[in-house]
Amino acid sequence: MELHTVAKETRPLRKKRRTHLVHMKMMTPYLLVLPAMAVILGLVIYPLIFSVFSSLHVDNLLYPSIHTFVGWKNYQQVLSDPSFQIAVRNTGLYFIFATVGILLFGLTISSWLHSIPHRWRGLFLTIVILPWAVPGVVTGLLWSFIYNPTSGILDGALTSLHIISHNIIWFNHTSVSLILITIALLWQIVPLASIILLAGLESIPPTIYEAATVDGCPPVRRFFRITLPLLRPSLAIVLVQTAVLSIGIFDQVYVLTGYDPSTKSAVIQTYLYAFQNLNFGQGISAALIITLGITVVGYLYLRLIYREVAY
Amino acid sequence: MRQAVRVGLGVIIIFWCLAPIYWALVVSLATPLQVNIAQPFFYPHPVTFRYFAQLLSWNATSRSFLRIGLNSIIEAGMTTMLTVVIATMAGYAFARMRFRGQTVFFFVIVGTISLPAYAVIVPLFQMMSQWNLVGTYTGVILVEISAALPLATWLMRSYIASLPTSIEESARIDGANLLTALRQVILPLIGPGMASTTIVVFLMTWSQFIIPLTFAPASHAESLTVLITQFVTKDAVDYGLQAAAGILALIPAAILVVRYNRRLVSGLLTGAVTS
Repeated sequence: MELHTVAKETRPLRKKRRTHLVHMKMMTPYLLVLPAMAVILGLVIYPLIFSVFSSLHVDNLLYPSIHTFVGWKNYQQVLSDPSFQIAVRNTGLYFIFATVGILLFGLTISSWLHSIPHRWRGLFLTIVILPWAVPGVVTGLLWSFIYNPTSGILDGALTSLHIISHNIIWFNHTSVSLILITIALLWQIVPLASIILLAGLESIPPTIYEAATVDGCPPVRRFFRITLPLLRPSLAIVLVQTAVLSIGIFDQVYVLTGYDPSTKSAVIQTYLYAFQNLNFGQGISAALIITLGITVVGYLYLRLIYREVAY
Repeated sequence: MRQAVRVGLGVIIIFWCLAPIYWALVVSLATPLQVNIAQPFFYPHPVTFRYFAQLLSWNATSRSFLRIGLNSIIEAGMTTMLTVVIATMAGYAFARMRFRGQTVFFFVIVGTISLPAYAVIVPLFQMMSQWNLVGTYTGVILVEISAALPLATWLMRSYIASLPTSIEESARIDGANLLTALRQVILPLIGPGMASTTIVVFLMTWSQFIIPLTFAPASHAESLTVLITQFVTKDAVDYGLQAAAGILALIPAAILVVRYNRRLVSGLLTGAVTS
């Protein structure tokens, strides 16, 4: 009798517990993803949608009560603003210089790392990757000491080698300034490009080179006919990242030349619209224009260069 | 001949990587006299530690270098910890579980990976000022988490997906419940992946400039990167102090790179595949 009642009581309990467990199991993935989703939806997706909405309205801290719909007016104003046009031109030049530089430096450094014996690889990889970890602001600072017209080592070295007779104020010339700022950016972004390209080089089977050498293919031709085509996936990644980082250049410009109109980048201009003119509508429109530009460039790169390589 | 080219190239490359750091070290150790006369110099003579002493001396003012350095450590540390925990949870779900809406969730989280921080910085600033979070640790950390999370989730998902499932399954069959399996089997296995994500996220956050500049300018939550730019613009003459500040800001990053270079490189390479 006693046994019977115990069994009767436990059975529904156990069943309830099992469905509870099944529920738990079904919910687990959602619970695991929930915090990440909350952060991204709340702090990335919502602001992004909000900013598209904002860009179509008056949103100016100087007139806080006015939020009338203005359509494309913010975009038109930004695009026809001479200071934004100059900033876009500068940014375009940063992008071009950085792309040329990354191909030159990245391919050189990765080929060099690829050619050295394995036991040295760890040490030199550490040295090559080091500048990547230096904060962009500090990068700008380091190069400002090099370019400094009174005590800079660039002037110092050129004077000691009798290449120049008096110190040059490097940032007096717009095109020189743009190149010098790009060099400071390259110092920071070349390391990542180099290790991506190195990984690409390591994935090319050496037998292909051996076969080409046996067939009498000269080294230069090997590089252009074998290495470059097989590096395409890595090159595409490197070029997309260079586009993102150079079109979005901010830290180095901010430290080296500040808000100087002749060198300011598009993101600096965005910052000026929003946090100096307090015209959030224009700031947001400018940011969206730049983001669109980066997306287009990235898409074109991936379409034109990226190609799966099969051996 | 080929050997000579290789060595020569190596010297140039190492010079390119290290010379800017060496030069800042020289400027930070040189006397103002040596820095301010227009006479080329390549090493400090005599050596002075006055700038480092000045920066590292604790004074009670809220804007001292050490105080703001502590801010940076708190912000980067908290951001990294929270990001890695959240990313590991999501990464595990994406790598190991099948559930409805998975692809949509994955695309939403990882799809924003190449969205630059400035794209949403203005609306985020408006939101944060509405919530009174501008100039607070919470505000800066929240935005930094949102910037680092997509990459971190991708890294954790890739790492977990690369592990064989058999060990976890046998733990389950042997009767371990999810929590035991998590503590004794899963966490030890994914530890290396978490370590490599931690290093990448910490270094990225340590370098952040536009986020602390926007969300904590001249406040008690100001970061080191922002302070350094103020040295540049306000005390435009005191190169030694600037250089010492720059050197001190890059030391934590350099230590991490030297100590964990292999994990860092593997993390960076996994991260690169997304774009």
